[in-house]
Amino acid sequence: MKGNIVWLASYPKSGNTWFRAFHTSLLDKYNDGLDLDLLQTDYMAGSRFLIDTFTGLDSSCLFSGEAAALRPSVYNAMSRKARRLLLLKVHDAYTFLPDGAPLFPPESSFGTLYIIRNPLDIVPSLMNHFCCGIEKAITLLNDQKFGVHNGQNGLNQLDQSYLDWSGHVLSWVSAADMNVHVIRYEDMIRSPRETFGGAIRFLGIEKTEKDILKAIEQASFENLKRKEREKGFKEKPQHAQSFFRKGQAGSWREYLSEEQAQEIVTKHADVMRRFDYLTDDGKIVY
Amino acid sequence: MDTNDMYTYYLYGLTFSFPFPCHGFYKSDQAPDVMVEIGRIDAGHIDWKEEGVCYKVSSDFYLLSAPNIGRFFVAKGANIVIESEKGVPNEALLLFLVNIVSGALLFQRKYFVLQGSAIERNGAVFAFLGKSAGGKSLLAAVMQEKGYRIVTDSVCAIKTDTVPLIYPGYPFLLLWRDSLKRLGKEKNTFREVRNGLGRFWAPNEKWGTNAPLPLKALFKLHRENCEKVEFKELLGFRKVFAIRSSAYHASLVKGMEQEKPFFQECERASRHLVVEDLDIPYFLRDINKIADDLDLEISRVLAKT
Repeated sequence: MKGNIVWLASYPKSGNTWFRAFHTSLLDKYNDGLDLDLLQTDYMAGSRFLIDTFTGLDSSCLFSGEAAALRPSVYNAMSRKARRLLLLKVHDAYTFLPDGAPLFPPESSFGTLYIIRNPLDIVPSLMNHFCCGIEKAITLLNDQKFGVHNGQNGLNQLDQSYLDWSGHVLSWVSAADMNVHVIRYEDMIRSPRETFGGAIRFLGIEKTEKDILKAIEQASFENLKRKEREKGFKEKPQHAQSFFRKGQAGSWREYLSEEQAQEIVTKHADVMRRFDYLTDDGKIVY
Repeated sequence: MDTNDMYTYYLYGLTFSFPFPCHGFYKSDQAPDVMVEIGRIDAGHIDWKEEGVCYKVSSDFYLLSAPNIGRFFVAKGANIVIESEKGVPNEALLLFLVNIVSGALLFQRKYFVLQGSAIERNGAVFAFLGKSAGGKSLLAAVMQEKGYRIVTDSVCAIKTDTVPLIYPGYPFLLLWRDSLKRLGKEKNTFREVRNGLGRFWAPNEKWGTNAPLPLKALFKLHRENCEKVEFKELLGFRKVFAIRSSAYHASLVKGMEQEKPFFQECERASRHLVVEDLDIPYFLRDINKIADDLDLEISRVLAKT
């Protein structure tokens, strides 16, 4: 029996927020227009508040392993209580607890909408988000241990493991019993009607073609950038110039040298080829 | 129980009798209002109203299961039984006892309980409300350095019979290692709340009394993507809902069937309190500047009221 949680999963800087903006626009009952600070997802999966609410504990009194061990039960409880599909934003890789149980239990899951993006284009976005240089961003992309490790610093998210880019992608697309629907960031740009439309059908949301096109327009990158310029966006890191940067495919060429690009391709070739970021003979597509 | 085995302390307007000493807590010579004992919990007979992943609650009873710590049973606002896992230090039990477990007890005793830290100046109290790990304790610590006294760290135990009055909590702030670094106190040898957690009991001045103090204002803390501190006074129903959303663990309100009286308390409190949204920069980079701005705002509120 299916659960009630849809995992909106992606490696960081891969279009998760863009999709949420589209989803919010689509469900906009009152025709108020898109407010970036009111994007409708039912929490982030690694939110401390979520864990505290469903466990009745104060997670800042727990070790990170203890909090992690409670997460599957929390999601199961959320799914059981829900009267509609819940959309949870996830940047964690699909991983397992020390006892072998998946962090994201299949029994709580309706399915996974996985958004993938060319890792070459993720690098400049990581640079902007984490205010770091190219080499550091590439290191993060290639780091099996990349994630949120609050350790002894509190903050409002629990520890999360991203793995490296390939590890993250494969963990989700190979996850057993998770009913994964993959969409590519580049297809959100090139063929939005088909890509967003397919995602909506996967979620079982019934909307007219006109509604979908309107939501696509409201959540266009130009519109998101304009709204961020006018009113700001609370998810933008303080040190970053903007959250919504370029929204293009292939802009990595303005930042990465040939050697740096090749370093990423060498490391992630198999997954890049699988998702058509490389041709069969190894040429970069975007 | 042999009274020689009792250790009695002031906490939230009550005298608690603990089965172990609580270093640094303020001793009470009053007869206990709340008995805490270590033993076996028998809660099989209870018809629970609400059950979560780690808790069960009904009007008069509450059961919490904390992983690798033990279980805590709270009955009728007067008795707490701890069924500890083997080898758990008393300090770890205390961490849960004086926070979430006491929160449940206070609700059973019909206190109005909000999640926040509170500071005092000139006999008036100002509370920062917010979720766990939201920066409340660090902000309170910095305000203490400006001369404010800490009233409570995490649990705001309030009564609203006349004007809202808040009762002093335990005489510590629970601070993360990172917060201690920011305060320049990383080399102090504070006791760790759980060995290896990186969170510490940082002592503050004891009140020396269990008497409540008048609450003047609530600041609802939001860590935002902003460059400077922003205050926005809330009015009307926004005020009431801001208070309501700051309930100490909302599951307790619902499970104890106190939703309606709690809302009424929120409305009653809103008539006497200034309530403001307080947006602070997410990474708390210039905490001293934040404290300066808050100090000015508190002066403004005091002058107005």
